[in-house]
Amino acid sequence: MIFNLIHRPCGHYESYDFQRKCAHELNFKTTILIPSRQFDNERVMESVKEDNRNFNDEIGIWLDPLSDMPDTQVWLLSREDKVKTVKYSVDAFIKHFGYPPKCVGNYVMDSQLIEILKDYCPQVTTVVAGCFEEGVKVFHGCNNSWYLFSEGMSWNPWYPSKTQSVRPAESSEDWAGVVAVPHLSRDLVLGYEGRNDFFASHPANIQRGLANDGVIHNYDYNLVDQYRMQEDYNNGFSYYQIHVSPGWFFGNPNILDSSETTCRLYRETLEYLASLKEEGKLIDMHLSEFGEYYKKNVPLGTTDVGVGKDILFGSGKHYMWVLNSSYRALVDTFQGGSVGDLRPYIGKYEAFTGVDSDKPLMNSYPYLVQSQYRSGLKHHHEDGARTTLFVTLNGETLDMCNYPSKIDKVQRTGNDVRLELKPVTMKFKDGSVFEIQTVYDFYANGEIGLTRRLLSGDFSKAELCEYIKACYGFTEYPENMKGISLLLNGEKVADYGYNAKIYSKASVGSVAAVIPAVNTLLELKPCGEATGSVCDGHHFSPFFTLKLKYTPDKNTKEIKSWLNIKKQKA
Amino acid sequence: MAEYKKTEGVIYRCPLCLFTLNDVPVSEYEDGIFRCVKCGYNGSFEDMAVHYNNFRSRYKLMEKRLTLEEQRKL
Repeated sequence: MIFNLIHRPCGHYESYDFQRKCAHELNFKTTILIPSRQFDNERVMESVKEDNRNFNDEIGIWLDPLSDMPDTQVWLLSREDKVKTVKYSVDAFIKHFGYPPKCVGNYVMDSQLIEILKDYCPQVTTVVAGCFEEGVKVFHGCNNSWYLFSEGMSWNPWYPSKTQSVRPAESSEDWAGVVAVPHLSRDLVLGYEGRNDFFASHPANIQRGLANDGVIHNYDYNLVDQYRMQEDYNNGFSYYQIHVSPGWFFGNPNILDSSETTCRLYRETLEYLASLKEEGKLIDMHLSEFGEYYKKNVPLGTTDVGVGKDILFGSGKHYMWVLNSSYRALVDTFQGGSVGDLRPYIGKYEAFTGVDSDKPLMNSYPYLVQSQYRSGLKHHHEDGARTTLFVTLNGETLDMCNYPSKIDKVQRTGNDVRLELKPVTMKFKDGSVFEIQTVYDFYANGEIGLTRRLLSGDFSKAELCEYIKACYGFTEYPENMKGISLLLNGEKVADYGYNAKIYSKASVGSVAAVIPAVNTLLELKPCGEATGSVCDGHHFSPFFTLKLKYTPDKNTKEIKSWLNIKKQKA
Repeated sequence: MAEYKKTEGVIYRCPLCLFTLNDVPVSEYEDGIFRCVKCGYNGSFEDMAVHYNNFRSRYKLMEKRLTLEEQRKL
């Protein structure tokens, strides 16, 4: 596993000195990102220069609005203020150190900010640019006052595109020219189900989430090992980052534990990482060193797989994330292998943030399916955004979302990934029992193969229906669905009209919807004979639904469909 | 379970709002009772401490060290 330790100095001198001591006693390569407003702080700059001189700590910039700007976040500034901030910070860096920085960061760096930075300082190679799955839940969690929307990105480093910074670049022409790393490493289960800010590689925030019991803090170690486990699925690659600003250590008002406990938890977590380094299981790097390593060893377009197993709540849940330049998909195995989150990168939705943007706050990449925010299975009127398989027998319909499964096997062939889930057993009131196994084939070109192996039971009287209820959006609130087209066999049958109409065809070739707002066509295609439906929604259930109904015979061993995501403007 | 002592400078969060994963600071009034502006919570520090420990009860694996090998087998 590759490890970045990042410091961000400020006027909390006692705390910052504690962090420096930890890093240097444990012999970690450390990167210091100097906040823009600290270049005039002589004491901070002296300590930074000392650590650079004595310990070879790398130095970079943490971009912050300047003191004559609104007390906001850098990615929310106007273009003019972003330019001023970048110029001031880079010039101040060069004045102090005599050379330009190679690494720069903030919680979010939108596409405009990265473009401005690269234009003014082409020497920058590596940026801290987003927070995995931080957005709606943390907005709520901070009493609706934390305006950071960075959802739909990778949990791992990535090559940001020029046109939307959390979208991974499709090609070198599409690439913004920097390697991006996430701010912290976030829990691959709880980043989806809970607050990504509590459950991250930031021991003090884990304390804020009350997930320690005084000095007992197994979760800090368990999260490290969750990320070490990702080597099993990513050709031996995994990445971890600890990045705690000094204000958290002594007398932080958000932490109930004593400062001694807070310092101890931080130190012990670093000691565990140091022990892994000694055993040869972890390599620490400076941030720009990592950027060079990533460019040499992880080609643009490499698929990322993230296997998340619950390590805190004891639910036994498994999730699997798959990310490539065409989409990011999340399989929720607890809900029968439903897709819980789907982001269509292939549409190359363009966006930047700040005063000059039409969507000034929103650096999240839009979703087509998001079952946590858009109801999913559990509802008070109609279900929401999700996928499932309905199995109907003698008038009784069972929903596979109600049948928990787990990951059985994950296999990679280059950038394509096969996920096999453990079979589920569905029991009908008439005593019939069906055993079905779900297999996903994730292809990096935008195609997802969805196979249901019919392992046991007499399916000859059953109807199996593949079902996707989708939309597009960024938050919990519906977007305007007007403009969406509904298609059968590739031909438009209707404009989305909130009229709940259903359009069906026997022996269908495909059912689809075109969502111009995100330049995407979402399609379900059967392998074999199926009746297809594409369904309009209404304002009390503002989604479209794609269905494929299969009627197996006694010889049918499996049904297979394609869930395809393609670029299409209108 | 953790023992909490009321500490000057700490921002205490409403325990009921915390259960909905919302951090809402509460204020202590002259009668020593903490009250929330967002919900009806009202209670002493000791009452809040009980709620904070109850909040933790959701973390069934908090005391468990899950090594890499153990996580592979989960």
